[in-house]
Formats: sequence, structure tokens, C-alpha cells
Amino acid sequence: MKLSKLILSAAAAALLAGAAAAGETKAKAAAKPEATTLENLQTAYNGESNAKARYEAFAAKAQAEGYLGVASLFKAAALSEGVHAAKHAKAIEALGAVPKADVKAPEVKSTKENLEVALKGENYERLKMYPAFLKKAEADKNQQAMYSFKGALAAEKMHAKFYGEALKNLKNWKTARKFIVCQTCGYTTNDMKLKVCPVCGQPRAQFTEVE
Amino acid sequence: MKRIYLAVFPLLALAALGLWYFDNSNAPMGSFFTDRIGLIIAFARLAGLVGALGVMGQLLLVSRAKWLEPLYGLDRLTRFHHTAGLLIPLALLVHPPLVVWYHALQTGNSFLAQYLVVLKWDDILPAAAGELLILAAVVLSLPFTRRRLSYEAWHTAHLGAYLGLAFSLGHQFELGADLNAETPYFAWAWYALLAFTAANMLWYRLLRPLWTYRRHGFRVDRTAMESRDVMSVYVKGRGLGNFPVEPGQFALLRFWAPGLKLQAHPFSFSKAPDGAELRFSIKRSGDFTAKLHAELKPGTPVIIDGPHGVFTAARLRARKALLVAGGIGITPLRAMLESLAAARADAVLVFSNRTAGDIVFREELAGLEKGGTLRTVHVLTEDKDWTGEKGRVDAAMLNRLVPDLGERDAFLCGPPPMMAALDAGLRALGVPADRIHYERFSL
Repeated sequence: MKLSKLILSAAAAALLAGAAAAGETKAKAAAKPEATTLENLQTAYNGESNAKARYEAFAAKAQAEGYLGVASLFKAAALSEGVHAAKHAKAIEALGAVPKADVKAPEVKSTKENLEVALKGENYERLKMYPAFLKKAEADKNQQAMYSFKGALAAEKMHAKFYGEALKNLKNWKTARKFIVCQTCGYTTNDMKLKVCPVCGQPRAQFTEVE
Repeated sequence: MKRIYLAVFPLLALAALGLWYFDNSNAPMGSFFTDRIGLIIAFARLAGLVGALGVMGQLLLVSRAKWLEPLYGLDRLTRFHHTAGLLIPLALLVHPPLVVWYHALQTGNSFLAQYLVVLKWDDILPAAAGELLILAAVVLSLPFTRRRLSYEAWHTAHLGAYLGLAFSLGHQFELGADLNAETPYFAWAWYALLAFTAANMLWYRLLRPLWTYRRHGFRVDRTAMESRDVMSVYVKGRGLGNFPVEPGQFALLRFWAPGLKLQAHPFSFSKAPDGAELRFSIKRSGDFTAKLHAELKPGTPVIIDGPHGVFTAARLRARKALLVAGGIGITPLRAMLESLAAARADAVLVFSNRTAGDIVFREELAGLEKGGTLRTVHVLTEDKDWTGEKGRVDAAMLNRLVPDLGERDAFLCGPPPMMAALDAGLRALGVPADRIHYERFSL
């Protein structure tokens, strides 16, 4: 009898504690306001600036390990992230603010691990971060931010696709590969026959070739 | 079969426009129809497509294609070409600034700075030159400029429009976003449209006349003056019995002689086909015809593009006909009278000229009258010594001269103001519109 009372009391206490904790989290969430488009742009600018530095370091590592194709891919992606950072910076300036980035020294591991980290980052950006930022920019009717996010989103999809392909068959990526990067939106592709950027409509002359 | 050909261009054009909508709704950045910047580029692309489609359609209208021309008549197709020609440039004019505006918003450049950037893109300068050539052809065809231009200058400017379309092709292929879309369906529709237009132009405007020439070997046999200003050109060739001409039709003639061969001009067959020779009667009315009168020699090869036109006795619904000719407008009616006489149809010809010296085919017409079914009434506007009918031919005069007007099909051919006035006058007298037939020859 005592034991059963003890169990019931413990369960009730746990329930009460759980409810209290949940209440506290909700209160905290309610207290934290939704990020503004300017804050989202700053977050994206910081993310792209770090991604650029990270991919440049990953490219050097891939080059050293003899994965020339992966090195080209990281170089192209770094170039693309630089374009996105610049576009986000313009959108921030248009809102009267100064772009801020805290670029940290990248943690470089093996090329395979670097690809996994890169893929994870791109998937987060394309599946969660940018769709949410885009929704907010649309709600705010901030066209410049919208197009900055839209361009980045379309390019990150391509980056993720290439990282996935490289991870599937890393050996094949030892040989050198060519990529082209749109200097307006950062769209990245290995389709050398491409004539017009499918994302922003710029002609091929506006692409930079990376090998 | 004609109806199948007739459906090809509209169906392909609709497919292209549908695929434009699909491509722009499913762009990598998301649908372009959801925000202002997207709408700018979507409509910029649409303007380019509509402009290019319009130019292709314009070429087909005047291609003299046999699946199109007999259904409507070349003169009506040409008039539609004139009207459409005023609208299509609007799309061509709107396309470049919309594209620049979109890219300026994308890059953050000013409109002017972006304009200068775009001008440096590959294939833009030829496309811009092509657009100017097309616009020049349109501007020089507007009534107030056309009046001040010779036919030759206007014709040359119009040839520039072909060059304009050719100049724009590189731009379409290299920078056309829909042509280079991820899915190839738009490109298939577009290439089919270009191929269909090019094939029709090439065949009907160039190869068919050459093939006809190769088959018949047309040459000028002789010339004869019909009046002080009108010269008949007799053309002979092989197997003319197999060259199907209906009286009332016309052809575009290119006389292969120095100074003449660069231009093809429309002239009516002025005699019903007899299997032995063809006759065209040409009035001296401009630089080209003056040169023709002065320099055309027997033996000159003639490339004949035709016959064309639906202004024939086949349109006759009643058994009776009234034919009204003004000056050189007699030529198709002269040929038609022969077939009417052969069919013993009751026909009255009212033939207006300025003076008795301007009347052509006077003896031939008198000869045709001997058959008993034709009657000719000559009307002169400026001849004081004339004892016959005088004055401007109008509906009231026709009503007086031909009391059974309402029982007749009316065939009109003459200066456009005369035809317009008679058309309106006859309608006012109760002649149904579908029994008033005319063809305007100023292509």
C-alpha cells in the first residue's frame, strides 16, 4: 500500500514538474519575438561568410588529398557563397544597417567528413533556414531580401546535390572537374553547355569557370 | 489537308505560350507570378515571344502559301498583315526595357548602367539591329511615310525585316530563357514554329517559283502597246496547258534582266489561259514599270510566282454579273469576261477611264460583245468630245445603266477610293455584301 502511494505521489510530482517545465518553455518562447527580415539577413550573411571560409579550407584539404574534383566543387561553392553574402549585404545596407559576420576558423577534417559537414549545412539552409527567411521576407514585402534568399536557396540545392554525388562515389571525384558559378545569383552547375542562368536569367558570359 | 496546315501555326503558338506559363510558374526560384520582380521578367519574356511569334505569323500571312491564300485571298491576308504590323512592334519595343529593368533589380545597378551591361552581352547588338530593321519596315509602311516612298524603297525596307528576324535568331537561341529551360518542350515547339515558317517562306516564295520556271521556262515572247500608258507582255513557255490559271487571278513577275530582276511585282493575267501564251498588261505608273516599258525585250526569262487570288468567276453566285473596272483595273475583268462569255453568262461591263485614249482592249471587248451575252458601257471622266456616258461611276449611275443590279454579282476592280465608294453604294442599294467581290492590288 505504501509502495503504491509512493509511486502515485512520484508520478503526480513528475507530471506537475513536467507541466511546470512546459509552461516555462512556452513562456520563454512567447517572450522571444520572431526574427525580423533584417535579423534573418544578418544571420544569412554570417552563415554565407562562414560557409565561404569553410569551403575554401575544405578545397585546400581536398586538393592535398588528391580529390581534385571535390576541390573544384568546394572552390565553386565558396565562390557561390561569396555571391550570396554580397547580395545579402546589399539587402542589409538597403535597410540602413551594416552587414556583420563573425567568421570563425573552420574545423577541417578528412575530405569525406568535410563533405558530410557541408551537406548537412546545405540541407539545413535549403530545407529550413532559407524557406523560413523567405516566408518572412514575403510577409514583409521586402523584394530585395526575397530575391537574395531565393537565389541562395536555388544555389544551395545544387550544392547539396553535388555534395551528395561526391559522397556516394568519392573515388570518382579524384579527377579534375569543372564548374561554373553565376556571378549574379551564385547558381552552380557542371553543365558547360548552359547558355542562360536558369535562376536569374543572366547569360553565360556572367558565369565564372572553376577548375 | 489545308485545314491541317492552317492549324499548325496556331497550335504550336498556343503550345509555346502555354509552356511559357509553365516554365515561368516553375522557375528554380519559384513562380515568377507571385511578386513584382518575377512578373517583370515573366512579361519581358512574353513580350519577346509574342514579338517573335508575330513576326513569324506576319511572314506566313504573306508567304503566298497555297494552304492559306486560296481561303482568304492574298489581298485580304495582306490587309490583315498591315493591321497586325502596327501591333507587333509594341511587343518588340517593350521586351528590352523590361529585361533590363528585371536585371537592374537583380544586380542592384541603375537602369542605365544595366542597359549598358546588357548591350555588351553576346548576340544583343545583332538582335537590337534586327529589331531596328523590323521597326524601320513598319514605320516606312505607315500611310504617311509610305506615301512619300517609292515602291522600290518600301520593298527594300521590307526585305530588311527578313534580315531583322535572321539577326534575332542568335539572341533567341543563346539568351532565350524558355528555349534554354530545363525541360525541352518549349524548345521543341519553338523550333517547330521556326522550321514551319522558314519552310513555307522558302518553298512558296523562292523554290516554288523557281521550280515552276524550270518546268515551264517562261520567256517574254513579245510586247504590244494597248494605249499610250499600257503595254501588254506576252509570255510563252513549255506545257502552259498544265499551268492552271483561273481568269481574274494574278501573279508576281520577276523579269530576269539587269535592273529588273531584283524586284517581283504583281500583275493580273489579262487574258484567259489558252495553253499557248500568257498575257499581262502593265500600266506605266512608277519607276519600275517605266523601266519595264523602256527596256523589256523579247526572250527575257520570267519567273512567275503564282497564280494567286480568289477574285475569279468561281465567286459568281447568280447567273448574271456586273463588272466595274477603273483604268488598269480592267485586266483581271478582261480575262474573266472571256470565261463568262464562254459560259454564256449575262454580263455587263462598266469601264471607266479618263479619256478615250486611255481605253485598253476596246476592240477585244467589242469582239466579246458579239457573242450576245456581254454588254460593255464605257464611261469617261475627262473627255469633252465623248458622246457616251460621262462622269464618275457611282452606285446611282450603275443603277441607271443596269436596272437589274440586284440580280447580279458585282465584280469591282479599280483605284481603291472608287472601289470603296462603289462597295458602300451598292450595299446601300441593297446588293448583299457576299455578292460584291473585289480585290485590291496594292500589296
